[in-house]
Amino acid sequence: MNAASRFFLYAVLALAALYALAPLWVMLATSFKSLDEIREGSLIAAPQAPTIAAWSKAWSGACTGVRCEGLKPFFINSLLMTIPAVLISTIIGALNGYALTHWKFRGSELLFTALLLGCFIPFQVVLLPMARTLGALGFVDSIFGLIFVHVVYGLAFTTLFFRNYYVGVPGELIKAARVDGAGFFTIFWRILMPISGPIFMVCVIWQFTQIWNDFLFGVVFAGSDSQPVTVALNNLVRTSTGVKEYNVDMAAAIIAALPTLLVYIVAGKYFVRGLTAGAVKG
Amino acid sequence: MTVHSADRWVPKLVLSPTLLASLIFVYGFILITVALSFTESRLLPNWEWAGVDRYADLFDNDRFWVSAKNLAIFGSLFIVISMAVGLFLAILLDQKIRGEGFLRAIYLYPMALSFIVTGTAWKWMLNPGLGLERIVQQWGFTDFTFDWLVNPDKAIYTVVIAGVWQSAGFAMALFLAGLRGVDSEIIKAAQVDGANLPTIYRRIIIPSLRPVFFSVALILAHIAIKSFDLVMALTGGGPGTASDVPAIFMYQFSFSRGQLGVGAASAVMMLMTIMAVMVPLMYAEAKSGSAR
Amino acid sequence: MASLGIHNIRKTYGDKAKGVEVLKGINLDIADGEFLILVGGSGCGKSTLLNMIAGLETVTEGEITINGKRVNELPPKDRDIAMVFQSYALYPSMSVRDNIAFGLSLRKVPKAEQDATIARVAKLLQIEALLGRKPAQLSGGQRQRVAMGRALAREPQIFLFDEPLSNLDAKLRVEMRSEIKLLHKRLGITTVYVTHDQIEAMTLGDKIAVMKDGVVQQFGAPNEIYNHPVNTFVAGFMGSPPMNLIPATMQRRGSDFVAVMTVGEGAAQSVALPVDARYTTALSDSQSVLVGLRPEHITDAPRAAAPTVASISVPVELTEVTGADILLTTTLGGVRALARLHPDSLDAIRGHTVSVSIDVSRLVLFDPATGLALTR
Repeated sequence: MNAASRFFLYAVLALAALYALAPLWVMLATSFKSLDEIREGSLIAAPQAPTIAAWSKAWSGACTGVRCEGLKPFFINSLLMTIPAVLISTIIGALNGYALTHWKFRGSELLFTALLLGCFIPFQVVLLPMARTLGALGFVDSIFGLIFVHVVYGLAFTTLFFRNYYVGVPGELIKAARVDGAGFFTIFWRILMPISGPIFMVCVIWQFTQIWNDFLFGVVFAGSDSQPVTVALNNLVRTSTGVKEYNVDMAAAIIAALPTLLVYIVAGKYFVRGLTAGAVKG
Repeated sequence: MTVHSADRWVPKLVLSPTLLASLIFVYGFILITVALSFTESRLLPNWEWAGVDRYADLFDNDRFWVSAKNLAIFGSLFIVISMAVGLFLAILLDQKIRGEGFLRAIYLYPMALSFIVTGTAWKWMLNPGLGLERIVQQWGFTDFTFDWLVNPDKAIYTVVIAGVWQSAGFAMALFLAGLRGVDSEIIKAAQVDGANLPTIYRRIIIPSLRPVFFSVALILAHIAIKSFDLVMALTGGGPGTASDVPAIFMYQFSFSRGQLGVGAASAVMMLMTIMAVMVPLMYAEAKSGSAR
Repeated sequence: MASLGIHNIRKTYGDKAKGVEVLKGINLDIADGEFLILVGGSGCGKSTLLNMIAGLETVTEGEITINGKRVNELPPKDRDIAMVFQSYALYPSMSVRDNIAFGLSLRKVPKAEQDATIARVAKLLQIEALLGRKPAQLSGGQRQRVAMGRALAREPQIFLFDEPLSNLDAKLRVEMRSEIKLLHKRLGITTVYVTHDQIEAMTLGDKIAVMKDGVVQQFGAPNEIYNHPVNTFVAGFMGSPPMNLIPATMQRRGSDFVAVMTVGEGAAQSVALPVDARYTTALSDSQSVLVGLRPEHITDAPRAAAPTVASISVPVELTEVTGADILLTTTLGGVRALARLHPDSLDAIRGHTVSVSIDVSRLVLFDPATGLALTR
C-alpha cells in the first residue's frame, strides 16, 4: 500500500474515532457549562467557565419525578441490586456450566438447549406474569424483587459462559481427580476454580454491565424507592419544572454511565471477550 | 443404590433450581402470557375466554401498526448500517494499523453504556434549538434545519442514528475477530495466485465470514426487536406516537392503560417476530455449518 | 495387589434396546501381578473398558471383580486403583508436589506420611528437582513421570494406563516404555494398559487382549498372539510390517497337503509349500486358503536351526533399507508380500530376482471366507 492510501486509511479511522467520541465530549462539555453558556455558545465548544454546579445538582438535588434528591439514592439502589445479582447468577452459572460439561447425564444436552432459548426471548413476554408473581411473593417494589428477576433471567447467559469455558477443560482432568478420590464439589473448588479466573472476569463484567444498564425490569418492577439509576435518569430528563437544564441532564447521564465506563476502561479486554463469547453462542 | 450414587444425583441437584426457574419463569410465563392474550383481561387478569378478540383489538389499532412499521424501518436500517459500518471499520483496522487496540477501544466503548444514557445524550445533541442544527448554522449555513427529533415523519430515524452509534463498534469487534480467524495460508495462496487486496477481501475473506454475518445479524435483530430503553430515552415514542415501537406499545397498554389482554397479545406478537427472524437464521447457520 | 476379573461385560450408550453397543460381552481374567494390554484401533472399546474398570463409566451388563469381589457399584475412589492418562491430566493450578499429594490428602493420610511417600516416588522416578514446579513448566516426558508418580504414590492394587505414551516423541516413548516395564517388574502391581501401538503391546504385556468393534478377538500371551493369530484381523494388526496373507490353493500330496501359490506378477511360476501334518484333518483337496507368513520367515538369512525350509526365487519389486534389515516387496499369490532380508545382502539383490527361504513351520492357514485360522 502506498503512502497516500495509507494516509487516507488513517484519516478515515480518525474520523470514525471522532464520531464515536463526539457524544461523550458533548456530554462532558455540557455538564461543566452554565445554562447561559449553553444558550450562548456552541454545542461542541469547551466550557469557558467550568462549573460543577450541574454535577452536584444531578447527584443530590435534581428532581426525578416527585423526589428532588438527585441520582444519589438511585445510584445506591443500583449498586445494592447489581452486586448481589451479579454474584449469585455468576456462581450458579459456574456450577451449572461445570455440571453440564463434566457430569453429563441423559437429558443434560436437552436441558442446556432449553436453557439457551431463555437467552433469546423478548422479556416483554414474561413481564405480566412476573409482575403478578412478585406481587404474590411480596417482593413488589423492592430491590430484592429486582435481584431475583435479574438472577433468574441472567442464568441462561452465565451458564452459557461457563459451559463454553469448561468444555475446553479436558475430561481426563476430572477423571484423574475422581480416581484420586475427589467428589463433585471438591473437584469444582480444588481443580476448576483455580483455573477459572478469566471466565469469572468475563461473566462478572458482562452481568454487571447488563444489570446496571437495565431499564425495562427497573421501570416495570421497581417502586419509587427501589428504582435503579437508569430509571431515575430517565425520570430526571423527563421531569420538566420550568427551564430545561441540559447541563444537569448530561451530568446525570455521565453519573449513570460511570460504573460501566469504568469497568470498560479497567477491564475492557474481558468485556470484549464477553461480547464475542455471547455472540458466538450455541 | 450405594455410595456410588452420590455423584450421580449431585449434578442434577445443582442444576435443578435453574431448570425449575427456566420451566416456570421462562416457559411457564410465556404460556401464561399467551393464555392472557386470549382473555378479557383489562386492568386485572380476568380468565374469561375471549378467543382472538385481543388480537382483533391489536390489529384494529393504528398505533400498533405504526409501531410495527417503525420497527421495520428501525430494524432494517439499524442492522444494515451497523453491519456495513462495522465491517468497513473492521477491514480498515485489519491493515496492520498502528494504535489498533486504542482505536478499537474507542469504537467499542458505547456498547458499555446504557441505552438510556445514549438516548439522553443524543436527545440533547439532536435537539433543534441548541444542538447540531445550531452548530451548522453557526458555521454559516443559516438556512440549515435539522428537526428530525420533533418531526413525526423523521423521529424514528433519530433512533437509527443513536442505535448505530452505539452498536457499530460491536459489529466491528465481531467482524474483526472473524477476519483474524481466516486462515492466513488461504490468503497467501490467493496472493500467489495473483489476486490483489480488494479481490482477496471480496472473493475470499468476506465469503468466509458467513457465520459471522449470521451471528452479527442475529444479535442486532435481537437488540432491535427488544429495543425499548433507547426509544424511551430519545423520543419517548413521540412526537405523539410517531416513533412508537412494539416494546413501548406493550409497556403502555399493559402498565399505563390497563389493557393487559392487548398488552399480552402484543408481547406474543413480539415473541413471534423474534422467532420468525431467529429460527430461519439459526437454521441457515446450522445448515451451512454442517455442510462445511 | 490383586487379580482382576471381567465377566460378560457389555456397554450400551443411550437406550439399552436401541442404543449403540460398544462392548459386546468381554471376558478377561488376569492373575495378581500380571500386566494386561488392551490393544486395538480407535473405537474398538478398549478405553471404555478401562474406564469401566476404573469406575468412571457404568457397567451396562456383566461383572467386574477385583480379588474376586464384585466392584460394579463402587466409585473410583473406593476401588483402590490409580490411573495414568494420555494427556497426563496434571492439575494445572497445583505444583508437582501438590499433584502427588492431592489423592493422599483426600484420603486423610497424615502429613508426615504424605511427605515420606512423595519423597519415595520422587526418588523412584527421579523427579525430586521438579517438586516445586507447576505442570506448565514441565516437558512432556517430565509430565509423564509426574503422572506416574501421582499414581504410584497411592500404592494401588491395580494400575490403569490409558495410552500414556502416545503424546511423547518417538525416542522418549521407547525410554518410558522400558521404564514402565522396569517399574512393573520391580513393584509387581497388577496393571491394565490401553494402547493402539502393537509394539507397546508386544513389549510390555504378560497378556494381550486384541480388540475390535467391542469384541476381544484374541486373548493370550504376546508370543502366542504373534505366532498363532486366530484370525486375519489379529494377523494384520500385530507385527510391523504385518503378517503376509497370501492366497493359495491346497493340494493333496499323498497323505499330506501342500499350499500352492503363484510367484511374481504374471503368475507364470508357482511354488508348493508343505503344510504341517497337524492341519490335515481340517483340509480338503483344492480348497482355497490364505497363507499367513511373517516377513521374517521369508528371508535370505534363515535361522540355522530352522527345521523345514523351502527355497524359492522371487521377483524384486522394491527394496527398503531400514538399517537393521532390508524389506523386500515381491508378489506371491497375486498380492504384495514383504520379505525381511539380511542388511548385507543389498548387493546381492540388485538383479530381478532373489532367492529366499521360507520357514514353513511358521506358516498359518486362514479360511478366506471367514478370516478365521484353520484349526491345527
